[in-house]
Amino acid sequence: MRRLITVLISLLMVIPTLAADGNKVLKMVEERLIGKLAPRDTHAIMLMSIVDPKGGKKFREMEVWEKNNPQGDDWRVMKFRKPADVRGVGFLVLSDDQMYLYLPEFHRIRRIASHTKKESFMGSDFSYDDMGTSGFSRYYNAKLLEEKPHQYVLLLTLKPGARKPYGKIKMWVSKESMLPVRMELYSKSGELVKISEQKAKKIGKYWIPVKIKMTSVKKGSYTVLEMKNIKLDQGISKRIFTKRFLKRRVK
Amino acid sequence: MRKLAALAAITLLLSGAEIGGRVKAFTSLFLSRNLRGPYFSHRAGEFFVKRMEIRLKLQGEVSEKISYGVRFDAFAGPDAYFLPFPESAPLGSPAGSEPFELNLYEAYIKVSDFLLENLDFTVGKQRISWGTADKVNVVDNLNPIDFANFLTFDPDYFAERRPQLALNLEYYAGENTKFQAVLLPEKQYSPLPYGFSSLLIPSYSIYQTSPEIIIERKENTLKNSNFGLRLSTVVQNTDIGLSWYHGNFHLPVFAGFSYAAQIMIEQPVIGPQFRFSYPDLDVIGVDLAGEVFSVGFWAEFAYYMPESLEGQVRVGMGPTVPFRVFEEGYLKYVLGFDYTLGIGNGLYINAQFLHGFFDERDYTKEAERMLNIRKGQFFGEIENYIMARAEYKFASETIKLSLGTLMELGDKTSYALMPGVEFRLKDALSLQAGLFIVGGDRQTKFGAFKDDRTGFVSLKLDF
Repeated sequence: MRRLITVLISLLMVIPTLAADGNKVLKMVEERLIGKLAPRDTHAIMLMSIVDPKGGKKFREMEVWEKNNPQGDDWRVMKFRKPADVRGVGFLVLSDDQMYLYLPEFHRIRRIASHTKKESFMGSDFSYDDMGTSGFSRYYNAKLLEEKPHQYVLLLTLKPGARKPYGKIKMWVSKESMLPVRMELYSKSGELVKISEQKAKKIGKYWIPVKIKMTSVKKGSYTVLEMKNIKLDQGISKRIFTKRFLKRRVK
Repeated sequence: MRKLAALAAITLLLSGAEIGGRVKAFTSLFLSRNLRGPYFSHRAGEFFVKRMEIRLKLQGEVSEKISYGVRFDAFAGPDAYFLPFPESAPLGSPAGSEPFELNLYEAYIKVSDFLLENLDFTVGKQRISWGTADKVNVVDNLNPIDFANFLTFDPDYFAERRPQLALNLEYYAGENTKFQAVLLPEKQYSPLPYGFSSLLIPSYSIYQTSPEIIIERKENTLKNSNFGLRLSTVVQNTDIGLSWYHGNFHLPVFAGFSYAAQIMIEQPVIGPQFRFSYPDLDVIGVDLAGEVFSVGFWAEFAYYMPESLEGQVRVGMGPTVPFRVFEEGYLKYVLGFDYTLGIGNGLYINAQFLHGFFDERDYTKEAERMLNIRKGQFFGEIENYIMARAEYKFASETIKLSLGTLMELGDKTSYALMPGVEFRLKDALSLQAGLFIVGGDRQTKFGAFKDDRTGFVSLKLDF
């Protein structure tokens, strides 16, 4: 009996330690994605291949500018280059709840509310939320499930009241890059919805995710997002992240 | 030599230009019979619109801070007229054998950091959008509504506005604040559909002879120019805009008639005369947009102050009766929200309450009586509407189902339903099909189209 009590006490002591470690690992991931260890700014070409369950392919091409915002969510501007029917469409993210869409046909900028984040991003397997810049720890508690020789495995559970589409996320983090290499995204009812597989590359002093494959489990479709011509720490001006720039044509 | 230089300059300009555009085929047909309608006369199955559209857009930069944009639109109806036979038309002149229209939709030059840092100057034929609502922007009065295409029920032309010649200064103060000053050196007029008189004149059908239309327009002088000022900023995470427009009504105002009903036998017969005017007006606008608990919301309020316009009516040999046409000022507004419900891939819903459609005004009681103007007619009194739209995309967004509705509220009500489906056949190639179905009281603006049910198919290719 005494032995059992000792085991239970040990377990109760271990569980908070693992939970604390989980949040610590997640913080380290976020530091590299959007925090102090992330590039101050990024400019790249984003290529997107959308593959439907029958193998049919569609392509998108975007130019992306990002800037690390030490006070809050990172800023991002995306300009669509291909296909022709979305050429010139722009998307500006200033925070989780301040986003704008530019429609060149009408020379019009529309504010879009954060409910759109549930929607598919340009018909891909990514949602607007998946493309977000606000990190995880604000919305999820992390628990360290397992520590492997080269990876941590975390379980992220949604904080009460947090408005995010996924109820839980299982995340595999590379110890080398301290970036996620695989994520399983579960709905609030516990169903596995999507799987994200990521490849990172060291550019200068930074580890940068350069290729992400997002698979929709139920639909059987997947999307591959690749970053090309990546330029880091170029001192991108804050003027890029404005409605003025959103309307400006880029080559 | 001069021609060669011009050709060389154009070639140089185009060599750096990005060329894009659209080819669109739009066909609609009537699904119901209506031989005595107020606007259309047709049998079921008759074609309503058969049209090819081609857009060609050139965009480029002359330098880092100077850019330009040019768009040509060409429309052609594929119905050849057989009187005279198409072969009789000169070769290379399709307009001789079928209706063909080419217009310069927009052409502008934009200079960034013009004279001052953060000051952009755009000159030329351009579209300037104001407001935060979805399509029905009561504060947006710089560019006139394309009313001719509005009545084709082509969803691409619903409440679309036409670019105008303008000088547009935009000064960006900080990240979120902009001050804009626009000068439109010419008066603006909405294109109207053929035979528009029957829409404009209440009880038009009672007149036995074709009326003479007198249109009063103001001269295009610098003093008469239209202009607009707007300040936009972000307060408490809400986009706010304040605007002032000074200009003219884009749609004609029915301002009086004379009708010599009792004519002496020896005197020459004088038919009815109808007077239309495009009076000036000032519009003070406030618009805002933001979100609460992830629900997007927007609102626009516009206070219209038309110039004092005197109407006149003379019937038979009686005296001319003058009256004031408009109330001194009146309010139009729109309140709306949108949200994506977590059903399947996400069901998008968008709803707006609209007080005052773009053609409606607040007339004096006297004008209503003298000109037979009422609610529920085009160019009539201000009425309330609810517009709502639902969209659902699936199959990796290759298929989009939509249902739009427009409800006219008031003593007499009507509704229009616009179900549609869009297939994205390939990237930049889409096929769209839809219906326009109206129900409710015929004595309302949209109820009058009750027997003009239409269906359409549209194929669009962007390049």
